[in-house]
Amino acid sequence: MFYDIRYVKTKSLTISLENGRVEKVKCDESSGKAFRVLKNGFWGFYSTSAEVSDDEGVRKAEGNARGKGRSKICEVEVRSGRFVLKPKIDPADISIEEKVRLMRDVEKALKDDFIVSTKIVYIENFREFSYRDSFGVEVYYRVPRIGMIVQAVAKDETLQFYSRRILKPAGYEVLGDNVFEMAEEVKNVLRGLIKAKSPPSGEMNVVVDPSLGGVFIHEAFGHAVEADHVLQGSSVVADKIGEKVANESVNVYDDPTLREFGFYPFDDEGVKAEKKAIIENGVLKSFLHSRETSAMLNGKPGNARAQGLDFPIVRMSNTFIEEGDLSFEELLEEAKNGVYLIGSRGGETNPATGYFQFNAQFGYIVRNGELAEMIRDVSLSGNTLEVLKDIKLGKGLEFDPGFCGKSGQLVPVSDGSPPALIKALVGGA
Amino acid sequence: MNEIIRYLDRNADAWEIYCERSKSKSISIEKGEIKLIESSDDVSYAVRVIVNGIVGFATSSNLSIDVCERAIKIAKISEEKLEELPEGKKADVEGIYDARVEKIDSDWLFESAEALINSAREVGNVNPAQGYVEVSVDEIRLMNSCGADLEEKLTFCEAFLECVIKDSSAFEFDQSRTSKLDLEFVGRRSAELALESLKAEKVEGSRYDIVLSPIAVHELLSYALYPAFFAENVAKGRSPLKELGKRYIGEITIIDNGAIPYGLMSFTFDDEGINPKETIVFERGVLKSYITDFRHALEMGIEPTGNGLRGEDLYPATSPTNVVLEFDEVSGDIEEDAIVVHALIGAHTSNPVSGDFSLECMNAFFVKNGDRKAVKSAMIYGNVYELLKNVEVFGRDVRQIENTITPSVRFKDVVVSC
Repeated sequence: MFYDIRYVKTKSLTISLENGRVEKVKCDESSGKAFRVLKNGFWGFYSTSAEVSDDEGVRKAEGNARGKGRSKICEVEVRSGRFVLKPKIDPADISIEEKVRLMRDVEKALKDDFIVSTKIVYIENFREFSYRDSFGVEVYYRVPRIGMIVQAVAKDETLQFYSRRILKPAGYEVLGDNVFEMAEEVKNVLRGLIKAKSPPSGEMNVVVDPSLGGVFIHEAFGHAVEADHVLQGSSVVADKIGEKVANESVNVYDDPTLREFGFYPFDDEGVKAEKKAIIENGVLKSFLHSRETSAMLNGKPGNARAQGLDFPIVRMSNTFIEEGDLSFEELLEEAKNGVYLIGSRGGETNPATGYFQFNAQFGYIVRNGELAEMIRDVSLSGNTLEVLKDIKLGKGLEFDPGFCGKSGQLVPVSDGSPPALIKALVGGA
Repeated sequence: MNEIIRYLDRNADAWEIYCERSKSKSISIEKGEIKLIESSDDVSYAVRVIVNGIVGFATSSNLSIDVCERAIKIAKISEEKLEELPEGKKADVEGIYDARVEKIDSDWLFESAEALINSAREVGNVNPAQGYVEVSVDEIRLMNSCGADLEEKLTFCEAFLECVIKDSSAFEFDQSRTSKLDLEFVGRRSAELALESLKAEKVEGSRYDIVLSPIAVHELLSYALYPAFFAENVAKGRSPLKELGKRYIGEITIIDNGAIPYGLMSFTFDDEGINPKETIVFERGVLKSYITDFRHALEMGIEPTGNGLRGEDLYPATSPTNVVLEFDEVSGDIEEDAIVVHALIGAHTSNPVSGDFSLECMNAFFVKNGDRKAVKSAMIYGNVYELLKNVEVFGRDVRQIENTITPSVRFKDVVVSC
């Protein structure tokens, strides 16, 4: 019988400043334990936020492990570890009044005649995590996360909104001039967006900015290589390891050790985080694995993550496509006619069919290799097995943070990309 | 508890303690095999205080003086105004608690999961790739210094299955307040849809009549429309629905009602202690009322509508309960010469402020002369207010999906990109 025990403690503070008023201040301190047992190839799981001893918790999980199955679990290489991310400026050392003052200053930078609504959200969170299992693995970490979301609504002929955010595994030091730059950008984009035209429709050349490119690679390929989909028989790339799935310039990695929003030192199965090659030189190298999928499919674990006390499942961390060598102007020239799309409110994919959708916040028409008039938000779609064949990559990799949802669990991730040229279906009028 | 109440009485002008105890059990399916049984016992507390007319709020997995102190500290820096809390009132609502759910054991879970798998396999050679059956019992207790002391127990059950065959996939699910789940329907329908979606072909990009299934209607409206009729969003300039009495959509009536018997979102009191009631949001396309939590009802000088609900963060905010869609034209045969869409991909990326959406269709079929042809990769595009002006007819297949109660709906002239 295999068992493991997770102890998770979180502390968080959220402050909203909406149309000049501080509200929705939420302050949480929670803890709980989660237990897994693997017996006769069948999993039993128990979690609780109430007091429970480790023995009792394991017993309850074992009580649920009452079937017979084929599940297995692998051992791990690094059996113990401890990691404490000590931020340069601990958010706990900054008074709430000071945080509110910063938010008010950011809001001031957002104000203008055409702005009808503003919202600034400050988020801080500490996650303390202990793990041990019946193989003797024992790890501990403590990681802070911090961020700010800047959003505004503007009105002219139409009502439009735009938002930017910064979210990092770090301390208060990351909220510097950048939050004011975000506010300026939100204002400037909205000034154009309220007069922007409807986007075009149909399959066309699309130049994506790094933020949209990141969401693109997350939806287009990231989910399909999560090995639990492979075990379910619901991934279009299940039999494509070692095969060419993209053109030769394409390299895609998942790297939880980068200090971006998807950072973690150990995953929720106690496995030390490491960088994984997904695609190298256009060839599919490996899937992302949990300790179970790696035992079943002969891979390397390290991507099992959970929201709070939930059952850990295979997830991405910081997923990115490496930069190429084209300049932005060269990408536009290559595109010749099409659209340049910027920013994203996210996307969704079905790994079984390979069809994915992702959304851009705004963009511009590209005409004869040059940027023309501004267009409103629009979504795009494509298919995993087709879309990386003709991709062209620009210079300058950047990451954008977000929360990724799967099986009802949200985890922090980031997606990275350089500007890139793809062919996709644009869902405009 | 007494010590905590004494502390709050001494340090706050008004206070509220909200406690949610949740017990759940579930079983999971992977590639046609039963893989895992989970159970959990969770308890969480939220303390809301009012000090000098300002709200403070804090949450924790256990109730202590500490969480109260944190809430009071927040009230010193916040500007969230509130003078009082609801006195607390309950409604009688049938069918929101089923004692049988408390007694569900692993044998029941095994039988249910097997029924899902078998119903799918009876249809054909499909892979019941992933699925689950989950049951939960929630116990809510709400107390405040304005007189509320309310308790209720709610049950919720759900079965979900995604079937895959080659590069085709489809899902179905059933949700209920009782232990009666239609497992045969979930298994059969997900398998049928996956099989039917094989050999999908592209259609020409153009304008088509489309029929959205209840799942697709819910996915689209819950993101693109519902937030626009929250009083708070209207007050804060984030909604185009600024004028009560104005026509914004076609002749559709949209009603929010948290007191519908057996409603998936029904309750005897909302998470702030307001009794659920019927609110007509749109009457034949004319905006009649907003829905709201308690605080924004006071702020806008309107009656509370019983829509103060708490999500995972336990902070009470406006949320729809059961949203019922009604239309005069109803027919059992609405699919001819239209693209029928079972589900949408990416509905959460719809623009809640402008109402614009562009979404990928999943399991879409072009129906012509009674023949259903699977459609490969199509996106529908538009603005939700324009779309709702072009409703042609409602189907008869009414069901509740999360918080939407609707049949399939046929819309005229929707832009489809292919």
